[in-house]
Amino acid sequence: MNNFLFRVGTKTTGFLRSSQFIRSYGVKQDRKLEEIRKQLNDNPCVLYMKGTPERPECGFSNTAVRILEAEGAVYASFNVLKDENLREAIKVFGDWPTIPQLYVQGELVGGADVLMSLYKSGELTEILNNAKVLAKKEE
Amino acid sequence: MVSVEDIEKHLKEKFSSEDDKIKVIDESGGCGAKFLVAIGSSQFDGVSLLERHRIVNELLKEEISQIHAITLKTWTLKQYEEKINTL
Repeated sequence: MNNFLFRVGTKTTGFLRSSQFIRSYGVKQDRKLEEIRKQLNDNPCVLYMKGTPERPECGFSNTAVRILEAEGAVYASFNVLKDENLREAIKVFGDWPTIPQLYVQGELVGGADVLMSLYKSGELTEILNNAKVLAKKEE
Repeated sequence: MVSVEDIEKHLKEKFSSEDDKIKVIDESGGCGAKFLVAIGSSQFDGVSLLERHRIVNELLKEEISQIHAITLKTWTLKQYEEKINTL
């Protein structure tokens, strides 16, 4: 637990650096991690991103959205720019330092670069299809 | 500020064999906030893409926490030869 707090403490910047904030951060983060688990439990395909699918606020998040669109995936998305605690917690949860992050059936599939490679190779279609999160084709 | 040299130094902790290929490009226009990193190594043979990225993320965690954006290309030696000139 100490180790965990230390890692969070050294990663935070700017206003996050008040000692009071860091003391309360462990509890806050536990709560956030629990929230993430619930989000992944409730939704088979989840994208954590900057901005929204309608209005991505980062090129990498935009790439992820475009790929999911091209695949015809049905997914939930969460905007980390609206929630600083979520932004930090998802990095810890996925053991992945960057955003976006795509999860299918609770498992991290990857960030933008990984998604692009899996998309090009056809593996992403397979992953999404197996999880039954592709929208049915119109008749 | 993060430099190309900082990134190369950390990558060489793991990718130090003579055959390993490392290419780091500063795409920030000088402010040091955006990088492209391409690595070709036999250490990636048989390793999933997610795992390859995890290996590099771990080596560069200090830098990644400081910069805005990084693009990773984690290739086997064969992939590196095929793709490096298409960057």
